[in-house]
Amino acid sequence: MSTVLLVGVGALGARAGRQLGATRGIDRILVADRRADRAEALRKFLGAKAETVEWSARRPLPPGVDAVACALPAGDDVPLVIAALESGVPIATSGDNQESIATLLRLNDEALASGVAVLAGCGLAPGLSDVLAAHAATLLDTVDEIHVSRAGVAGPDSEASMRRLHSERPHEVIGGALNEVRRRSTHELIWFPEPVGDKECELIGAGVALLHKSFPSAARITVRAVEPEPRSTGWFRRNDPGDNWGATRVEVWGRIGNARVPVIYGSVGRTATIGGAVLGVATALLVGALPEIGGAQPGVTGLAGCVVPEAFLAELDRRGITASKFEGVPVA
Amino acid sequence: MLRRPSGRLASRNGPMESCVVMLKAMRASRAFRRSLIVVVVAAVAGALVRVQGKGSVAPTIGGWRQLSGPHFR
Repeated sequence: MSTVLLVGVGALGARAGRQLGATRGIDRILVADRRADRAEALRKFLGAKAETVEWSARRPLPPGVDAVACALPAGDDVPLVIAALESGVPIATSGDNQESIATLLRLNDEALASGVAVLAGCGLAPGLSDVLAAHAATLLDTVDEIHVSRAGVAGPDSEASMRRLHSERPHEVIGGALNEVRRRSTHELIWFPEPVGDKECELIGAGVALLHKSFPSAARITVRAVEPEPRSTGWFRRNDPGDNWGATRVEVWGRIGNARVPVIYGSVGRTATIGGAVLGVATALLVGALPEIGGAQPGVTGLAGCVVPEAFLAELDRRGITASKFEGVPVA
Repeated sequence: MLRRPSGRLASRNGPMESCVVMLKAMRASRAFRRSLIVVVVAAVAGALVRVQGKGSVAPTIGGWRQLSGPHFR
């Protein structure tokens, strides 16, 4: 019998709760949110499996929790991870903030010492993109370059995080070393799976450090994302950006024998739905409810470092999240 | 037009003029040698880039195929 504490029931957290409720081996879900009405709505949806708890990161974790699923806004997840480390409970977090992921990676020694697994960046990108990169790497003898692109935000908090990422100086791996980019490059046109199609993407730093940790041999790693629409058009936008389509595209270059080839994978769907499914399945991995999809070791890592990619993708496929491969010819 | 210095020319025009012609010919051959070296170096560099370079181009025309099968490839 496994008990999961779900913290944060926003656009992504609510979907993650539904995914946890549909996972065999997870028998009890404790739902915590600063808005009691949202937590209660999810509890009603999940039925007898769920109960709401009043909890904040300043308090110790409720007793009997086997894993924590954190869907708090990016940056707010760090105190929760520290609380989980102190309680010795594994945690998966969906935060995509560059600074908070860097802070989590700095907690690696504490996580190793306490024997706790921390899965950082369990969303669309970072998250599913890491799994796709790991899947692409299985086709190659060596990995030289990884280029991740992302379109879409899960909800208002995710949109704010994405806006912040676009205003910060991004990081990228050049020559095998993680560097801060002093001058932001121009936009690049990226082709995502339909219906998202072609979008202009700008360099951001979300998830680069996690990919660098999982693929230390890659000489170049970049992450790009579509910048959210300006606020001035807010009146004409839909109320819930989570209803919008989101997509990720992962281009991995490597060698098969002497030939240098790319492998391009992608996925498209509702951003919050994909992120919620990834967070739900990652939390199920932590409690051992889905042993075939991988096993988390103590320490702070991204999904690429602990999953069996094809089993993880198969599990997502069963939940309606599909992945695609770009097949085409180069035109120089 | 450049002319190869010859004994006949030197005897006809005098030693001074023949020296000028020889000097021009030497300059011309030096420029020719330099341009030859530039061409050879460029050819070698081009061949190296062509053979050793990472000049692969990502596919740009094509489509997305949903992953399926036991290995999701």
